[in-house]
Amino acid sequence: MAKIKELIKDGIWNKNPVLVQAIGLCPTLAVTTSLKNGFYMGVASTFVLVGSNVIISIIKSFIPAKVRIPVYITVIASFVTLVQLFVSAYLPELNKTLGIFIPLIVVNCIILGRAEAFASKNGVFDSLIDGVSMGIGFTLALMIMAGIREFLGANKLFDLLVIPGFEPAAAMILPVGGFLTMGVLIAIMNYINMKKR
Amino acid sequence: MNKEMLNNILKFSLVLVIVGMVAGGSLSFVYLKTKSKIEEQQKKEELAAKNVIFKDKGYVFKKIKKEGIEYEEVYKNGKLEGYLFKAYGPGYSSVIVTLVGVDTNFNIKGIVILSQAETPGLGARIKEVKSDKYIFNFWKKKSENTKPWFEEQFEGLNALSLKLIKGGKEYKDLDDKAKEKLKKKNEITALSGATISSNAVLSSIKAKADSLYKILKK
Repeated sequence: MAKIKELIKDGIWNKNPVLVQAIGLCPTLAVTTSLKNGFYMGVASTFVLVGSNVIISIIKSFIPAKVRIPVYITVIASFVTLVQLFVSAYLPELNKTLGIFIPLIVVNCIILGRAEAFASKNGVFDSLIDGVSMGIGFTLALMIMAGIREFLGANKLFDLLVIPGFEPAAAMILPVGGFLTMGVLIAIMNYINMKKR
Repeated sequence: MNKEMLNNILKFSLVLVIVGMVAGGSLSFVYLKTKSKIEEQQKKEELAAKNVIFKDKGYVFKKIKKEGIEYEEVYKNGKLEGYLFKAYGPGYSSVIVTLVGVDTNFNIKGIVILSQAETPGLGARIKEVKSDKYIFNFWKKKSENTKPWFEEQFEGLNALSLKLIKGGKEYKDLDDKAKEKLKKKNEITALSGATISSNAVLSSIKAKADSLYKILKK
């Protein structure tokens, strides 16, 4: 139980994929222009992360260490493609909203990062928990960034206007705003951690 | 080469071959299983898109293939009303497929982007719907306009001489007067930060319309 708690804390705060490990930044910067995008990307990534973590922790003992990376990439890419095929065949509504995020996940290094750093060294159950907590951490980081950028850059939250007459700064939804927001968030996080110590 | 090295090479290749085979096998299995379903969904979407472009009832579509170009003739009460065709434009990260309906003078009746996988937040905004709803009253008003604004601005323009303008305000933020001006000049506003995606849609329509126009003139 204590370990689960530790894993969840790691995913959300201590080892937050975006703000501490700084992995998966490419989709992070691209997607955090609106809360809706951030949320969907987070959910889709979490799903794939859990799946690939579980599969890799199962097959890890059969894989020689020297060829593990190509094997992981094959596993992840196949898993993502399978998900995409299923979604576009049986869940057309979900496909419309989530569809464009799924191909982005293949190249999301959070998935490969967790496979290498965690799932290849731990059991199935722990890997599953790690996948869930890292996924939640990723989703939360995306949503906080997206919330700030969507509000300042478009005066919107979840596609709804917020303050009448507020002139948004469009730079915030361009890449500049992404870097700015991420820098400020990391600074705040480090400040809180320093205070704690 | 000693024996151990040889063994290792064999072992590594064997593992990679097995993993590749399992992955490839399961992928092709699922692909075959879902193929017909996916095609069915695409057909459904296309049908819905046709109804968006040619709004009234009573239109008849006739599939034609001429000189390697596929298009559909659109009839109403036995009279040729226009053409329907698909345009494929290489965007930033995907091929953008657009269904285009034109009248016999190649004035656009409407377009619907059928599939795209552009960057969310940038190029994917070609499907963005303009919303005026506020966060404190979103449950009151129902959204009246569900058509993406990027698609909407093509309506009424001539498909053969479309022009893209970039750097200015986006169509959705313009007032009616400025919109009218754009229409007269046959111009389309690009999405800010996504010129490649915007241009892919525009130039694919233009190119396809152009080749269709030439074939029909013969």
